[in-house]
Amino acid sequence: MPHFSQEMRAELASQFEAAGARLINLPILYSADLFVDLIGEDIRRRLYIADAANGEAMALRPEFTIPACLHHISHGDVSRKASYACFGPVFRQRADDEPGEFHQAGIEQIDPEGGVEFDATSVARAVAMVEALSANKAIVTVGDLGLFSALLTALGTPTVWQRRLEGAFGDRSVLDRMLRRLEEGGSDNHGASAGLARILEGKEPQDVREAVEEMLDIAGLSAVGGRSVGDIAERYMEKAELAAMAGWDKDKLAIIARFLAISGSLEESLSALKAFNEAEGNPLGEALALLEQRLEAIKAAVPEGTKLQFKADFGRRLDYYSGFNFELHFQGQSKPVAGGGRYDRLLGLLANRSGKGKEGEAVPAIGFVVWLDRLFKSN
Amino acid sequence: MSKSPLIIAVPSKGRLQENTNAFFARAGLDVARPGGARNYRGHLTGIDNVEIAFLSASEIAKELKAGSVHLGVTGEDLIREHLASPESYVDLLIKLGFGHANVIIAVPKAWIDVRNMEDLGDVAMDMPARYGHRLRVATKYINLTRAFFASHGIIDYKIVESLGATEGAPATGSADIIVDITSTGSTLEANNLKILEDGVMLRSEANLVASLTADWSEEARSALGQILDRIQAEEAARNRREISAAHFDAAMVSQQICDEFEHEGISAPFGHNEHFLRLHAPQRVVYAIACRLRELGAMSVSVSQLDYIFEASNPLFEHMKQRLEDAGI
Repeated sequence: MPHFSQEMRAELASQFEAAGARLINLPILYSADLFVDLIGEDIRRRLYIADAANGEAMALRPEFTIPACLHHISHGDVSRKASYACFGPVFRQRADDEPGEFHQAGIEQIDPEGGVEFDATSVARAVAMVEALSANKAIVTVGDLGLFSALLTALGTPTVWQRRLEGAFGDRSVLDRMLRRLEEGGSDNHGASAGLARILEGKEPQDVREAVEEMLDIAGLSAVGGRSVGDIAERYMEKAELAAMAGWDKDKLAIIARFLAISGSLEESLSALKAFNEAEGNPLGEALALLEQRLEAIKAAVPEGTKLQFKADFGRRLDYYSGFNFELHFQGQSKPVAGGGRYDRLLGLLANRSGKGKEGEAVPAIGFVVWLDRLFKSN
Repeated sequence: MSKSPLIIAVPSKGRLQENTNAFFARAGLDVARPGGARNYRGHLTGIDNVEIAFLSASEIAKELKAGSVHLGVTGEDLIREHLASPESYVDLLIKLGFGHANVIIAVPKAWIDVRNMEDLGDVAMDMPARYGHRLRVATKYINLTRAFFASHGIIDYKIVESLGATEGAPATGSADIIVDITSTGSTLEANNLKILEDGVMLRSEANLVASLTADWSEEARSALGQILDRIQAEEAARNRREISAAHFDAAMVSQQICDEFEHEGISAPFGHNEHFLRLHAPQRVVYAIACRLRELGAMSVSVSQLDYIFEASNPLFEHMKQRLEDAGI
């Protein structure tokens, strides 16, 4: 654990104060299921878990965002405006020799307005905090799932594939694998699936479902696990149709590939995005205008001379992250020193868990965290 | 028993135990269990300073990691499940050729749209939106499952720990799919489950495993050397046959056969002698060699089975000594 000098603590405090963020003392111990349910099974092996006497698995907090949002929910109306400062140890088992207990500092903000200024301010504060603590300038990378979603919608992507591609966004290898599969029309048995698809082609979904139900019935397969027959039938048809077409429209896939390749300084990327958008008949539409506003706001908010870059494929593969994401790293270092993004879905999910709100409800929220141990290592 | 014996953990019951005993017996080592099945300690007849601990297969994996036993017989599946990075704790010395079983991923047969991991990835991504929860995977192989799902880029799932009758979980509704071990697949069949085309996560069998974290005293090392020497001698002999024949120019014929069958793994351990030739060769080429010898003028060729071949060097023991040295022991 690094030693935090009085100066550093004072610097953090003044950063928090300048941001108008109130320091909250969060518990260290939470139900492990909370993180596993929201972040995914893979977080479990990173958690430090101990069993409580009642059998519930308890975990040391691996991060601040979820605890801060829980704090927010338990202290009043979900959609009220708030700005929280978090500082202290978080606990995560890490693959390399990095210690499992390390310190982070961050700011989580909730604001029902949630405009581009909201996003820009968060980036600017992260930059300011990293620079003040390390006396080192970081490079900021930004990306936006919203732009990718707009493109998929404009290309007429079927709903299921839109959801899956959005779900893979942030992990380029998974996304590429999925796109390759769309190009090839799936990997197995084109023949049989395609044949059945032709038989069922043009039939009403209801009829297709009944046909599949009958098939399963004949085979004596009544148990379907946790899925409905309708769901199985629908996906079967979707897969068969893809195979029958022998893949997705090549032109559309080429457009997606061209989009994902866009990256560079803000100016370069913006002009590349505009040229792309013009050439393809305005598929990005409103989302591009919004991105431009956001990038302008960020440029205006960060200290002069801050290095900013955009990557069309940059994101975080986490359910509750809803669009805009950013990351700070030092030149020549692969691991980020700070990361943040919009998580408009998280408060709704948490409120639903504790019975205080509706699942789908989006509450604009953004946060960032600075990996303090990485800052000092670079000194 | 002396002060720091070599401790070997062997399965305490069932077919694994029988096969383990047979394995040691082939090497001329008998696992003695005075007092019968109730006793949890035994010894190896014929070698001093060896203690046998009778444990369950999954305990053996854990004890090997902890270093409380030196050697153990257990399945590769359990080693890979209980040890995050097996290579830093243990050495899988010998595959034993029994206890074959695959760790597989199986889904309800009714999922006609799911044939492989890609399909499963799609379903996993669709589930939260459709059903309000993640794909639930029942298994006792938590670490193997995580690693396998990660390698396929699947993150939308949740493991439901299941310590028995895992294959029943989809039917009872406690999970959607399973990761489990199977040797024949009949239990899966009975539960209307099918293995995904690329759903074999690990092909496992029983292994003789050495702990790198145990206290390798002089006595323990010396006992290990003797055991590995016998095991190796038996292994080396198991599939080899000794071919003998008389010939008026035995030295020349012996040399010629060795040249012709060079790539088949033939050897002349006693050199090329006049009047009488004696060769060692893998079982599968014995007949071909016998035919060739007669063509070259041998009147009679006899072939016999070998019990042991003791060589000057013992690669298994050398390998193990190197591993211990690398591990700083």
